[in-house]
Amino acid sequence: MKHSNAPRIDVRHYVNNRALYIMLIPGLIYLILFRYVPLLGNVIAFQDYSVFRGLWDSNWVGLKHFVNLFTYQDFYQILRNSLLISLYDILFGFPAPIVFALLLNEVRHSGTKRTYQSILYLPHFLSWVVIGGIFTKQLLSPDYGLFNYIITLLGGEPKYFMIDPAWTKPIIVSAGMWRDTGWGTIIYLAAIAGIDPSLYESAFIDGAGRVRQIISITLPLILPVIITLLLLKVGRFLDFGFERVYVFLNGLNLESGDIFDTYIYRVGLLNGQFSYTTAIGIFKAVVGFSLLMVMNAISKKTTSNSLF
Amino acid sequence: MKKLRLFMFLVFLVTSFALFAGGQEEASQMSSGEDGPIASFSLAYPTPSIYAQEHPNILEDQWLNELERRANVDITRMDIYPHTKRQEFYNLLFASGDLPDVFYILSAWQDLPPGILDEGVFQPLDEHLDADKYPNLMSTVPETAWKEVTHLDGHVYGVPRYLSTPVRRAVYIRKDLLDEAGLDVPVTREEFVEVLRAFKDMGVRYPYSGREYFAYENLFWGSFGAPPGAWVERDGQLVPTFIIPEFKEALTFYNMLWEDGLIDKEFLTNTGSEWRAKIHAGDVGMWTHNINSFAGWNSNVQSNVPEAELILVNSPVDENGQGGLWNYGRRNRHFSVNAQYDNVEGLMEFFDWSTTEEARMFYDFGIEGETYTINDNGTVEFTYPVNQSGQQELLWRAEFMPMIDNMAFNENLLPYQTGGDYVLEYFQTRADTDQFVHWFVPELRSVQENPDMHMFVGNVRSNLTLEAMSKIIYSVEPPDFHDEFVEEWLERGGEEVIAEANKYHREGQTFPFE
Repeated sequence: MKHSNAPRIDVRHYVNNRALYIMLIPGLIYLILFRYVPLLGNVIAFQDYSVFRGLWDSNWVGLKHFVNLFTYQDFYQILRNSLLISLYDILFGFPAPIVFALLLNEVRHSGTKRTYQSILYLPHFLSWVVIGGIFTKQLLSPDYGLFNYIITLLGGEPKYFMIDPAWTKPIIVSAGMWRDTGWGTIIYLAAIAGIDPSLYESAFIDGAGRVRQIISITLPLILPVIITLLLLKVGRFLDFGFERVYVFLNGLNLESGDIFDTYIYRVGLLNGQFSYTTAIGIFKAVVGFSLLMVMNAISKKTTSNSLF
Repeated sequence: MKKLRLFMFLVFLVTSFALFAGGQEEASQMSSGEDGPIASFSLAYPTPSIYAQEHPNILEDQWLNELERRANVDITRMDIYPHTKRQEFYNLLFASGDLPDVFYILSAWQDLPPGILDEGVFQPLDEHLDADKYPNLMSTVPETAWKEVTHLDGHVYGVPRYLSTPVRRAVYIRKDLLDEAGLDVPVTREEFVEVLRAFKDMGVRYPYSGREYFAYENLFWGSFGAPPGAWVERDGQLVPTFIIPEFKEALTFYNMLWEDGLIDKEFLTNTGSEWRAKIHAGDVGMWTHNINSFAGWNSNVQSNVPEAELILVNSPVDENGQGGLWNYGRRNRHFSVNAQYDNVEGLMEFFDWSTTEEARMFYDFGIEGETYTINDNGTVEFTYPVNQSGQQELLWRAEFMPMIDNMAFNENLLPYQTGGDYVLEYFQTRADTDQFVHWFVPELRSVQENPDMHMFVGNVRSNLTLEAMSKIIYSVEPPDFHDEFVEEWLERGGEEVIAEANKYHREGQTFPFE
């Protein structure tokens, strides 16, 4: 109702807040230039794009690259790997920081808590190459890896984990969890810190124990944060990331570890098949967007929290 | 007041951008000199040189500047890039459209965007290959090397840095371990296996080691007549070794090595540096690598195991005396020229100069009176640097700066290196006897367009192939899995690859490397 005289008020509104709008400009330019303009480049998915001829002179081929993609023998294997690795990551990797945040929140001595936090954050600052080295060699090498050392101590046979397709996905997902769980607790800890302490006090007076307090107060109150982060994660479902998978791949575990990102790197960047890999990128984006919409609708229905 | 400040700020932003862009423009104009160099050009330059990669501004490097002065050329831009990332580098370079005048190309055309030779990006150089105008160049570069940079249209698209001997690798054996085992230098495959078994019994951790993608892992393939990625002739037809029965035999044999612990269990997941570290630590009894790297291996292994002694030997042969390591052909690297570049004569003059005796002295020994002196009897007084940085600097000057040269070995410098005489002797007398003859096949469209079909020289990069090989060797599948692989390979594009290769074979565009 306030906006019934819209035009006049709007102008004044912009004039009054001009400083804010001016500050907005660089961000807008950035978004348009680096997020929207490159979207136009997606047309090369419908061309036989040649870097020598450029966007205008390359031949148009319609849906050829999409047909090639869907009829490629390994397509379903790659799709399956991409979906499963992301799914495992959401099933195991997503709840882990919540659990850690709840546990850390129960640590009463603040010095101890800080120490735990710092130790948990540390792996986040390692590059994937280093983490790949730690996992594939220091921990899992059949020759000198720590895990195999323990297995031999216990009287077992050393196992070459990196060449066994059954282990590829667990290794990739757990390496990611090791790296990012601690880092992920930050937001939850902040959300927990924002909860009104009087709620806990009255719950305590009513006789609720620590576990009951977590279930009935902490979790419901940080649920909006959890849902938001979950939806953001689902939106990037097929964008699992190139590096974090690539460092674990070799000729033998490729069949269970090759995902779209690594496939795009090999075919697109190494073999110069730009059109084909753009088609894959579009496919990924469409899948990610649909998943986001579905999850958002489900969340709206069940928890009345949603992104939009 | 506020408005004025904001306005000033915006003006500042805009002008600083303009200045920045303009500044670069100016710099490149300034360096294209006015005192008339014979050629002025920019270069795309993927290189293994650590010296160049770490240099803050290679255009101001003393050796490059000295080269420019002596050759009277002007290098206006040099995009240094690690050679291991060259595919990304080239693809991004071509996609950017900001192309230099000269491209330094490492592994023939397969690193470049598919179909590049048909796009008119490079200029044909045939009319410039004139022995009267460029006598040094034309008399130095072998005929075969030119053939290897000739496209199907019959034009020559590159100036090759060549190999005087096409075999660059040899088998390294720890002589001290061999003596300890009381065995002679092995010759046949059986004798090699005997040595590896003896190493294993002596407690050598990895009797033989290799690294991922079968890079530098050439030991036994030649003795089966099936080095991965080679083309061989069968009943007048060219076939890739991947699909011949001998390849299955070789895979079965490697599976035996793996099962018996004669080869490093992790040889297919070792990175280059892990592989090196194992050898340097003295844990490896045998490996294959470049003959040229002998001095480096020697000093690195000896720094950890003082009693270690290395020897170079030929690869194993089968019962008929057949075998051999990969034949690299005669082209090793080459320079291609941008179609827009208009001073090819000047560029060719530079290449011609770089093959002269005078240029060679500079590349190898540096500046007279500074880095070397000439004795009364005419010999060169030169000290080979002992420290890493000195060696890297020397390598940059003598091996990695732009030049046309023999990349097999450096006759001038080897005598100044520890063990250099031994290496030179090996190159001149024994390297050539250890070669597997396979066929040169031009770049195939069917391979470029199908990543599953890739047949990298020396490295196995096609996942289809790599997976099948790894599975059989690591006992995940029985050797008969090879039959399934062949069927799948043919079905997924192999038929077309073979058909295309044999089309060129019939047209006489292929030839055996010798």
